Amino acid sequence: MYVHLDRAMERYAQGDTAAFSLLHEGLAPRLRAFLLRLCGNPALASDLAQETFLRMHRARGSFAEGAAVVPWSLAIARNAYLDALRRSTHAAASVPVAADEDPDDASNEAASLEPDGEQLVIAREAAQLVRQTLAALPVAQREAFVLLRFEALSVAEAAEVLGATETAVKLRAFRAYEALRAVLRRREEEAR
Amino acid sequence: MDPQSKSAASPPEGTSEFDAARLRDIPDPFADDFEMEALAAPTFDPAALPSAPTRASVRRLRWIAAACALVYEFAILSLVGLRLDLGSLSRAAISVGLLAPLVAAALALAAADHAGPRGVGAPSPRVASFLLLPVGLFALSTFVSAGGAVVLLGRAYWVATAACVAGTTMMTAGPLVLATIAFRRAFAATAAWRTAAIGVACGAFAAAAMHLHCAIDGQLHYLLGHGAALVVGGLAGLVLARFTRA
Repeated sequence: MYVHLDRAMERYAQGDTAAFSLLHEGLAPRLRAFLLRLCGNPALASDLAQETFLRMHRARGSFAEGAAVVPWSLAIARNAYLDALRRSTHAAASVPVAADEDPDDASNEAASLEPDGEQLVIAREAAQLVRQTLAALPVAQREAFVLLRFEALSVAEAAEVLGATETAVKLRAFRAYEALRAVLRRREEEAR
Repeated sequence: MDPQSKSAASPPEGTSEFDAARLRDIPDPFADDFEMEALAAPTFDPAALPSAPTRASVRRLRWIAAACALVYEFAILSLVGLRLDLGSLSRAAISVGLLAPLVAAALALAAADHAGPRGVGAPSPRVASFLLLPVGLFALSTFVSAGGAVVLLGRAYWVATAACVAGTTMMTAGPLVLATIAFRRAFAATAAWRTAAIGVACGAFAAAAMHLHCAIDGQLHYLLGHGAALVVGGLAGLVLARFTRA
């Protein structure tokens, strides 16, 4: 699926500096998205994505022949995130909730809108709830869920990125899913 | 999402009937942010990057580190001297005493180098359990390499064993530092266990070298005096993982 990126990384590991642009172009949005889902802060996610590329650059000589660059880069991005988490207080590095996106505000807004706008606000409210619940999850569950749900990795790929067994990854993702589902279910029941 | 539908990502065990497709029930909370971010994607100038080793230079560095580790062990052996009974030992005792730790070191290195099918890293539990092989092999080999001499467990014996622990630890330290440099930023995942595996390999290598110096007989001495290096190396590796993590 990402054969062209694997080839570019292969060339880069051998010293072809020009391949870096290809890698950056192909991986940057994905890495930023992954990091944003982990940390919830767009500015921090961008910084960590840059740091990830720097780490990839420094580690390029250790990129195994025939390896897949996407899981490799996601694993490095995860390391960058975990290091940032250790450096800062947990509150600063975990998912913050923007003040202007309070779910209650969104509900009030919905009351004064047309049906289409109402749907939009309901969707935003759900997204905000997911964001909050995701932030409250233990990191191990959050990263497993993000890799399987949003990065669309297979369980085996996610297990490699996380350095865990496939069983452990399934269990973590399942627990995260249950927590998120429970919150959404509760919201829908309240809305009735 | 249907809130009444049965939670179906997996059964409570989260394993046997896991269906990742059902995770799509959960909406993406950052969909809007990605659209905004795409407009302001930062650029990255490759010319501004610091120099970094290529694959060929990493390979070269690892061979140099291995050669330096060998020189280090020989330098220590030349300082402390070879065992006096080397000529009178049976060939089996010498070869098992040397080969078993070297095979253990190779197995531990294989565990460290195993990067899984996608080149990222094998799961920590797998690497950890694989590490039992070299440790077990070393322990088993002591039955053969240690002679059948009856040993008095007096104060002198324990002092000598402690000296061997210190000696093998010193013999482990050099190769482990070299290996940490050679494997700097090498492990994207499972760095702690893979670095511990490197530590075990260095400890086993030191145990082999110590076999050429130490003439104290007995399985207990081999296990404690020489084998401790595998454990010390493994623990040191866990600490040094911060340098080998990509």
